[in-house]
Amino acid sequence: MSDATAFAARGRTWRRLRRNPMMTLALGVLMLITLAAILAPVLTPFDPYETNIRARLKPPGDGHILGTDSQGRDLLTRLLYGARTTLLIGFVGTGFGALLGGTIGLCAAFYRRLDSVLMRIIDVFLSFPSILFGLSLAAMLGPGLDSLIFAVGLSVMPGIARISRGAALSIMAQDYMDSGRAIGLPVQRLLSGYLLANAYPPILTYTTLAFGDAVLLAATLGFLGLGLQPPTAELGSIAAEGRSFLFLAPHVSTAASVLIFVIVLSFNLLGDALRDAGDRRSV
Amino acid sequence: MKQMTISKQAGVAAPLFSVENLSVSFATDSGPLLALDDVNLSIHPGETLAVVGESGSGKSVLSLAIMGLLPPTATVKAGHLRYDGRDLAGLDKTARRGMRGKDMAMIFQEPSTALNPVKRIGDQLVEAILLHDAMPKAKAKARAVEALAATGIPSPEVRARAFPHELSGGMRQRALIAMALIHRPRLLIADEPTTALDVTVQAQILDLIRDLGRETGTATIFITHDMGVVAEMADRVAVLYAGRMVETARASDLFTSPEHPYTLGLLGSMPQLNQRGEPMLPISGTVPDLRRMPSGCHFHPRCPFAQERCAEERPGLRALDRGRRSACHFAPLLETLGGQA
Repeated sequence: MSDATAFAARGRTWRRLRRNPMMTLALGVLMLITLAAILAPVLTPFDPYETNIRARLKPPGDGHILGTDSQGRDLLTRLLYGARTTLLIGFVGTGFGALLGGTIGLCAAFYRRLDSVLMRIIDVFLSFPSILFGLSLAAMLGPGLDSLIFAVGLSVMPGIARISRGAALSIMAQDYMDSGRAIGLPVQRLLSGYLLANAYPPILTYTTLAFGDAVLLAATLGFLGLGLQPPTAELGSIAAEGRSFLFLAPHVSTAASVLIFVIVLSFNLLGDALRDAGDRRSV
Repeated sequence: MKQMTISKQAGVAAPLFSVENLSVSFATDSGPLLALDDVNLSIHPGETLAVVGESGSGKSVLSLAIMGLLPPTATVKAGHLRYDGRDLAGLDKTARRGMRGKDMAMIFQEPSTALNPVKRIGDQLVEAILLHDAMPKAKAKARAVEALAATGIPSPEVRARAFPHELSGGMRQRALIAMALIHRPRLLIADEPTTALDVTVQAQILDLIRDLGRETGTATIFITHDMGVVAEMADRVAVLYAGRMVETARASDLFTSPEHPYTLGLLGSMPQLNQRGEPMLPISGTVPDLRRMPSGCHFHPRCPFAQERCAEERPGLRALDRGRRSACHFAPLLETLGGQA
């Protein structure tokens, strides 16, 4: 397939995306959850931090749609505020990882001399399982939003760097990279207007998939107690809190876990749909 | 500079650009590979120099070396590039970049891949204009449309808003020519600009390059393997074989009496419409692997006139009459080998 038709495929990509019902569903769910998380203070009358010992571990219904947790706080409110934190870590962490990884990948492809050095560093990163990596980073840096975002970002970064390098390498072989240099374009404009502008579709797809991983990692760290400390609402730590009362009040852990599951699944479905739609082999 | 009058007697004026003893080697896994070996050429303002050779002869490496676009795996082992008396080796990267597109420009072989697919044609031209000339964007846009119109693209305003994939190959090549000539460079390198095009379009593109070149007084280095194109375009010809220059001559001389067996072979492989039924005379064998270059004259394994001496002694480029130079032990061929040829 020639390069010209590759660009024409872009319009087709979008049409195919919209035809995919799973993608529409996943995108809708994600937007709904994100919106609800952002608007949490408006949506719920309860305070996520005010405890009420008399209303502990109430089952769903009776004023509290999802019941209450072990401190008597409204669970739905906790979940909305928790989703806020978890999504924030996921978004900012992935954004940071994509920025760093994308830059490394593009530079490795553009400056061939740097390639082997950069990629060996990435290999070192990749040789740690991301959970272990995130865990040790979070443990090292101590609890806190910044260090969580940093840990999540660094664990999604290597994969994105790999994908970016591959995508950029195939663009580097195109004649327009040379013709751009032949008209005297400076390096930074070649990198952005020529290399990134043509290499970004697979990077974007992979980054969408990485969002799911990032959210999962953020929740896992929270669940293991290395995330934000109580009473801060965070989906993973809410699930962990509920674990102590799993038989007495299963709704706490279940609700938090289901929400994590839905978020991660939606990101994965979205990423898969993007990949299928952009897949040039199946045109 | 641009207003400088161009001397009609190209032979007398100083050359605009010259390549002196240029050797370029590539680092590969199996060791260094000499892609250009001691190449010399010069070109005068307004002149068209054709560089001819088979695939793998080093034509494209030569054009990239001139533009300063060699990949990082390539190293210039020796030699100088001189533009308007200045040695380009002495320039830093920024100064060299400033020359690209302004003083020297290049037209690529594949118009389908030489344009950035995500940018509109007009925007790419505007980008090229603003790189070397500060002006308001609206003015640059008008100039871009003008430049497209000058290449004979119908309804240039519409095409300026088109993406590369929306244009035909011929139109894309016109757009690339417009882009290359937008700053009226004094040196233009055309790297097989018609190879990827339909035959009918080829002639139009050749005319266009020649006419625009004439208008702007541009010196053109025309890289090709098509002797028909050479006959059409060139004032002078340089023949490359396996990284070495084997012959240079004025185009008319080259066609009437080639002075290197390889050139003879190239001419023999040209289909002749006026000699129907006569066999073509292809060159036997293939271009040697640059890693296992034959000793002596690189061409001797394929040369019908080869003698023992050819395998042992590397022939230098010798001056003959009328400015011709040949790297064959037996040049001038007719006198030396009269009976055989």
